[in-house]
Amino acid sequence: MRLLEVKNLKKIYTTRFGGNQIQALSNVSFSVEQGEYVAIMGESGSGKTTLLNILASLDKPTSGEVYLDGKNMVTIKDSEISAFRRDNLGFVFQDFNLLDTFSIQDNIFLPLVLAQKNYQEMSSRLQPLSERLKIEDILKKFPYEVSGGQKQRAAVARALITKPKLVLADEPTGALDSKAAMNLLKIFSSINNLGQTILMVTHSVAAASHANRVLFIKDGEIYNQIYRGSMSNDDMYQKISFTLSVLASGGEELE
Amino acid sequence: MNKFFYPKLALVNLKKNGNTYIPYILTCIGSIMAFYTMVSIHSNKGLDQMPGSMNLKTILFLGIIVIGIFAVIFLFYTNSFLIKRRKKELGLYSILGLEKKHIAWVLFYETVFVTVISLSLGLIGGVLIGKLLFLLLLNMVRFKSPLIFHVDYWGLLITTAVFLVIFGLTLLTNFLQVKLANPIDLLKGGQHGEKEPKSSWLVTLIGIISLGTGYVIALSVETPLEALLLFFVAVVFVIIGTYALFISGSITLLKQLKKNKTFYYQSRNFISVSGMIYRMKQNAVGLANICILSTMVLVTLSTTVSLYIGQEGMRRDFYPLDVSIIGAAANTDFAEVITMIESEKDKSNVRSKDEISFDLARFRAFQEGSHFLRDMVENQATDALYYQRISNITLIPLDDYNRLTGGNKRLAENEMLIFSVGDNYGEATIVFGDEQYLITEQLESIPMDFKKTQDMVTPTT
Ligand SMILES: Nc1ncnc2c1ncn2[C@@H]1O[C@H](COP(=O)(O)OP(=O)(O)O)[C@@H](O)[C@H]1O
Ligand SMILES: [Mg+2]
Repeated sequence: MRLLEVKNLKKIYTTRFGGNQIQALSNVSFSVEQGEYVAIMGESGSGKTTLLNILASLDKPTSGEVYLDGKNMVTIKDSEISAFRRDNLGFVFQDFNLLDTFSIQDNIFLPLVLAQKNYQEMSSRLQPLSERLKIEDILKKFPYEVSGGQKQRAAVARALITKPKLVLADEPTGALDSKAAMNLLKIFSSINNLGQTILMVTHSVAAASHANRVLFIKDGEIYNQIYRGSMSNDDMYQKISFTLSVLASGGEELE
Repeated sequence: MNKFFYPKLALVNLKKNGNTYIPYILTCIGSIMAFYTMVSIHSNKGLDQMPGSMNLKTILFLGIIVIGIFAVIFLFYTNSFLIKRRKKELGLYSILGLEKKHIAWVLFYETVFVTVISLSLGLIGGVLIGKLLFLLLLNMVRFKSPLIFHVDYWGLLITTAVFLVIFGLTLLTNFLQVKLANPIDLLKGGQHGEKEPKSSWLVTLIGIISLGTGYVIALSVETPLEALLLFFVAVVFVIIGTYALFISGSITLLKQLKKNKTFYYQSRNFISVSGMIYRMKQNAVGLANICILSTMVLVTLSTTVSLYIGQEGMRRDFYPLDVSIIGAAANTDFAEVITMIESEKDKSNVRSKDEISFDLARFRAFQEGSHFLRDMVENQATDALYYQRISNITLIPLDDYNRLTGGNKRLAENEMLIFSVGDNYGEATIVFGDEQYLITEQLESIPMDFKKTQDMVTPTT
């Protein structure tokens, strides 16, 4: 089943003064199947975050369409967009974005509290999640008391606790050391195996090599994509590295 | 939908942000207390019956305005600081499922809670402190007047109204922040993405001019009482100037320094100048607040201390002798008075020293150059200028003067010696009614220990 469909997405930023225009996305089309794990790669400034923000309905495209589960996100009314986001999307950020004033548990509950779920339901949802993410021991602690890896796992729990159709992650391993990053990638793979659809923007070849499919974005366009097929992570790694090096050198000779 | 959801969330937020909100609420309470205290003293009915209360009331009224202005600036500043710190939290709320409308509700309830807490505690504290300060004021000015302290409902009402407006305005600015920002900006708002602050020559110029004007006015006003309103204008100018200079002047200066390449690209200046530009942006208002506050404290302290200390001096000046007995020459037998005094002294076992006696004539007159008019004195106005020009004249015969000083000064007809309290009497002649006297000598001192007692002591023929 097709979960996400992106059609001819275009985004032009206009700076407030002088009318300088920056074309962040020129023409992006792709789709994501239910249960897929997709990585988006590209150089810095190639438009990855812009794309993700539009998919997250945090930003509007200049033109083009985004369908999530058949519903056009671009035309959703402002008053419904928050509820739509809450019910359909989960977010993992590079710098975690946990609130220092809340305990880890309260941070994870936050989207459910805002959705006005009752406490019974919250804790019954948290129970299996915290086990799977190995954060049972730190639930009562505060973000400044735990490591980066633990913070990011808490952030993943916060993203998953609403049972979103799609998890969006922007450089989730960007602020982690390599061990914590590996750990997080394993978690992503395991939740993906349980059927969770994930779309992840990343710089890291290691991170991308865990995905089922890697999209390469260059100058605001989808430039190439790699399907895992039956490849191992190591093969993926090799192939991604190769594509990136071609991409960096101008990339004319790729099919 | 649970209708208590937003109030509850608001309460949680306040609690969670306690370490920033408690100081904020304390600031609010302090402002409200100060404001209420001023208003209630100002509107105290007993004040009207006191001598010179007009001036006191005017000072209090201007004080209320200054405190009001200050409360607005201070609370706005603190509030914007708080909301900036919470941008990440609000952004996250927005991303995780609260609409802007809902965030606005949460902010609304937060403001309601802060308002209710601050107003109730502030007013209670104001009533208590007001009572305390009022007793202190009575004690200090030594007014004996039918003063009763009461809870001033009018003051409560005004204070509540003023602060409701202030809180309402802070809420509006918060709404605006949330409305204008998109969630990504809110998330980033707390940390990075800081633009280089803008500065404007115009604001800097306004700052320099108003600060200058303020100080020129303040320094050229001779006695503050004489021109209270002018003094107030000076205060407002200084406040405006200070803010403008800190906010824009500092940045203009730093940018000028930055433009000077040989200065800027030295290791010592490079880091400090560029760092200062950003830090000034964040802290300009705070620094200006501190400056204004300390200036106010200094002015208030020096005024009140000098007034208070001056009070004792004034008493000594008016009553230089421990005991003085004055009788009207026409119907007093001075010999009898002296025997009475001696017998009373014996009875109560008191000794006296530095006894002096002399004849004198005393009156008040209204000075105009070298003319001293009696008529104007009848006109009882309470304005400060009027009191400024009243002189107390004491006339003493030359014989008594010579007897007490052991000197032998001589005067012809229509001549006088003069002793003037304070500034020297500059004129060559002095005119009472239509009689003109030539002044032969300005005395440096007189034996009557009047020193600064009355404006003028004039030994005459
Ligand atoms: N809010 C914005 N206003 C103006 N230009 C922007 C804004 N956000 C991103 N850009 C520009 O759009 C381009 C793509 O940025 P981004 O999507 O952040 O790239 P990436 O995440 O791949 O590094 C960059 O050239 C960037 O400067
Ligand atoms: Mg990015």
